[in-house]
Amino acid sequence: MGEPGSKIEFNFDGGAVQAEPGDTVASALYRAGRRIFTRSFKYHRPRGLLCLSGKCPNCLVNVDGQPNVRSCMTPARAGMQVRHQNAYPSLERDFLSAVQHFDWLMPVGWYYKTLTNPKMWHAAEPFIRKVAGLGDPPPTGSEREYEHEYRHTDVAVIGGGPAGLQAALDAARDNQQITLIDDQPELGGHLLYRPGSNASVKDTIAQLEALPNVLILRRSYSFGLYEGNLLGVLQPEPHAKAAERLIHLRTRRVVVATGAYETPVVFPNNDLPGVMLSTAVQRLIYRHGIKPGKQAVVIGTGDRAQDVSTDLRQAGVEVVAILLAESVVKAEGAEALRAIRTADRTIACDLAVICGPRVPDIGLVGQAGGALAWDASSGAFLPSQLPAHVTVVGEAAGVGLGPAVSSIAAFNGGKRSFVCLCSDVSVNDLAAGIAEGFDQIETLKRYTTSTMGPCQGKMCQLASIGVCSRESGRTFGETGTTTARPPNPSVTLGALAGPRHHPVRQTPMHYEHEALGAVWLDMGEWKRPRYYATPTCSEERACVEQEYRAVREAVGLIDVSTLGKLDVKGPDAGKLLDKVYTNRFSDLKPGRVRYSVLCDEAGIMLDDGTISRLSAGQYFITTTTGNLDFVQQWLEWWTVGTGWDVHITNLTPGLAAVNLAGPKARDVLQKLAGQVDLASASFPYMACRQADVAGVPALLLRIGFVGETGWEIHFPAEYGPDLWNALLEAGREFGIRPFAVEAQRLLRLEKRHVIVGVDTDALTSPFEAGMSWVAKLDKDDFIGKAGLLRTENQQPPQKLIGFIMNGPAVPADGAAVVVEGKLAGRVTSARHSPLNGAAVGLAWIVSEHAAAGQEFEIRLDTGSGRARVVDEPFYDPAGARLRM
Amino acid sequence: MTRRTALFHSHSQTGAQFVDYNGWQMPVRFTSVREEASHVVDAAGVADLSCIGKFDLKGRGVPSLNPPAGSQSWLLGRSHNLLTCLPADRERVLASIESAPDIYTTDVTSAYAGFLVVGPRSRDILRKLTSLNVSALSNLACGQASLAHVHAIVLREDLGALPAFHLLVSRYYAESVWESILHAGREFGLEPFGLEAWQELGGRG
Repeated sequence: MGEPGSKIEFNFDGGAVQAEPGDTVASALYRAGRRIFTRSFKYHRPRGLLCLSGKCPNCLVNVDGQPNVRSCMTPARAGMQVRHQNAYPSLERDFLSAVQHFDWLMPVGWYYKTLTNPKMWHAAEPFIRKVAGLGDPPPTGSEREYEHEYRHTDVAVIGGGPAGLQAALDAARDNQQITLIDDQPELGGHLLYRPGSNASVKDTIAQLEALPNVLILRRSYSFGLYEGNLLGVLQPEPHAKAAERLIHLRTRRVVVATGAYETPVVFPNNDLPGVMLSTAVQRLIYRHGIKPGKQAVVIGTGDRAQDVSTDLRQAGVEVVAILLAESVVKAEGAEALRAIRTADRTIACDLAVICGPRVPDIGLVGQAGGALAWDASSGAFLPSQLPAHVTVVGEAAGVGLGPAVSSIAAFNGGKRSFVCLCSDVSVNDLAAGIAEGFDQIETLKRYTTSTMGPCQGKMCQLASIGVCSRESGRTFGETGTTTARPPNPSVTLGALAGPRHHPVRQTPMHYEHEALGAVWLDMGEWKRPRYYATPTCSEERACVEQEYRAVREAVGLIDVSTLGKLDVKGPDAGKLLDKVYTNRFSDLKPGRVRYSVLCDEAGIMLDDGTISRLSAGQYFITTTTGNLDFVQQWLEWWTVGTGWDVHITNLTPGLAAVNLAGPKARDVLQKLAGQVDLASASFPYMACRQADVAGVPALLLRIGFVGETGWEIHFPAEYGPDLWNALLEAGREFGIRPFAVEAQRLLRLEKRHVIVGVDTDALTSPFEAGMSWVAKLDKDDFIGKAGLLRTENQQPPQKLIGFIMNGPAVPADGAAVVVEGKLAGRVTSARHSPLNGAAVGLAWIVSEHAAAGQEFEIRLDTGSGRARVVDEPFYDPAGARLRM
Repeated sequence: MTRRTALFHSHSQTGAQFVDYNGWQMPVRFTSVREEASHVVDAAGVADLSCIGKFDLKGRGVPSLNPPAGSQSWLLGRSHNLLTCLPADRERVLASIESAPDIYTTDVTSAYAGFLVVGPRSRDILRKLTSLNVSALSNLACGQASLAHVHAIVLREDLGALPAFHLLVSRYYAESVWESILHAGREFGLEPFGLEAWQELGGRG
């Protein structure tokens, strides 16, 4: 308070509010005369400032579109737009405050009791959805930026009060790395709002600030202590460009110096604006220089009542009475406090100052796995057992908490004696819950929602335990506490989600595709061209058909860099592949390629790909785009413990790959790879060679997913753009076209080639997929052999079949297969085939209808169509074109 | 045929000038050498050094290997090292390790994009991108961690007195990670710098 600076202005509900230097939003509003800050969650009762320390739910507002901001913890900033929430049309006149007159309709647990009939629920749902919840979500497309930061420290001291400062200084002298975390803009803790000298604390702060091994995080909330000593710390407005920063702080030790906070006392109408905690009143006076009221009744005893009375008088407030909590009968007033009534008199006042029970702020201790025990002398649960890396000091450990104070006044009956301010749970509600059998604190919490609101039990836990133990006839210690869980205080989802980094994978030819008019397809993190929109085609199907025709009639070029590529080296490489893949590889000759699938122990197909033997001790594996990581781990897993000399390296990011395919593919490639004889006699189907293409060292695999003469060319990624363009240039005279995923899907469907994971699922064996030839059951043991042997001679319940439509319709992927009116399978892929003039595809169908020539029905978006099972590939069934 | 880093397009868009560097098209400068170098010294800079030679070494012979002259060896795991060298030394280094017994070498130069983050604020920037404790990483130490949500190898290789971190990520993530680094560095005044400033600051090459 009293720092140099000038007044600023912000906006509240459309009106200007002046703020003094050092003001929070709450203090500026209070100074301007505002007394109602929010409306309560359930009954829409008026609520005013209560704790002024970020612990209670009474001052939540919307700041610049962000809901549920604690206004007492948010420094006033020029131009900020502050709005009330949970009241319509205004805080002063809230239509929904009428709800409290219908409270008889909403007893504790009323959802479960009242809305038992589905019809009633449907009738009530729209209204409940409208009024339930607290605050409006921020607008979508919000420009707020969230940051994450990762820090490491030896000691994290949480709390910048006298105990925390001393602990930090002591640890800093041991030359350790210290991180001191405090939720206020200024260090000092409760001394900031206590009058008198705190020179020694100022000195400690100065010493800490001068030490290079101490990092001080101000206005930072430690919201959770997680496994592995990870502390979650949230910083609002860390710098001009970020709304919030979440710090992941790894620490060796944690010192909890969070102090204690004051909590309310329960009596009728204890929630009226004007009923305020003594520490809040002291904050108003000493932090902000605000006279909190005109006439005050102080409710409490001993030094604390005397001290706050002195503070009030010095601030110019008339203290009209000092009462014991036991003598308070009720607070009176409708929208604000007017009087406090005792058994024999009514004392007019606008402020009731509660010297309530003080509770150590030790949620983090519970989260860390520490135990708490009831201490009757201080009237608090105190840490009794701590994990080795956690220390608790100061008031958080119970030091100087003072004598016990009861949470519950003598007169506390009635439905307006609030225990839980967040959810409007009264003493009566808790008593009703206990009477209904929810007499354990944990079940009572869930049934009544007491301690489950925005304050997370800070204001209500002790009183809830008090009511629970009284009604169930147990002691506080026997009743125990509810479980402390992070986050506390609450954290925005944006802060947890962090910055908008979405990793994207681009192939080396990404910008070549863009220049060619690629329409993109997201495949996991990959960007792949779906098709190329060129001036010669107007819509997808026409473009795809042009690409298709180029491959079938001339030559096409597709970027297949997304394929997984693994290098397997070592004398035992063949053994490993024999063990993991279903096909045989130890006898594969160098320079040859073999296709295989990979199965799990039960014989389920997990992936497929080609494996090329480059030399005696080196193989080159391709995997499907999405399964690379899995296949690599799977190979490594099955190597463990074998003692085999075999080494697997992922080459995927380092290699560009293209497939050059079509009757003219050889002519194009021969122009750039003059030194290799590409004729089938010397470079047959399923052979591989290492050779230079346009001067670039490349691996050529003669394989044919699309059913034409073709080469898959793998080469260093840095040559991607140049070699891609060189191939297109060399192919120009032959009518080359780049083709993309959609055309490839069509081309492979005509060849009846399966895509593992698209046409197969998590239960597919090679037998069902019609690929029994790929499983070499005469091999020594391999992964999946036992499972495959078991089903070898069984008729699988369903089969993957090729089909052709009788009409022009193209079924959607996933369309239902129907036989004699019954569901008999589903389509996995279907495309219009220019070759057949009708759609062709793959489908699962029950085995008795899977014979070639059988007809079945496929459900279409509109109506249904007839289809016929086809056994062989639709295009070039003998595979002659692949071998040309 | 020219070698292009995964950021060739991105550098061209920001107006970088290129030079042929051992067959690679590398950004030589973005603004001016003086400006770029002083940014690095005062705040932080980031350079695309994807052309640096990288070899993955596995096998029983790895722990006893003496790295060939001009190369730097980094311990990634048990019997698993990464060797880095200047592009000009790549073939000589490869030839020299291929003769060593019980070592399986894979050239992974193309597999990793490499970004050098240098300067007094480099640790502040990395703190926003990775959970790796970069402050505990001494010169010529390395670590592996998630960085901007992708796997990265972090090599600490100071440039003279300036702390410098060489970040290796799978090449296909290059643009994504580069943008994340620039975004994280905005508040600290991070700017890209080219080959010329790198050499001026003491980069070997």
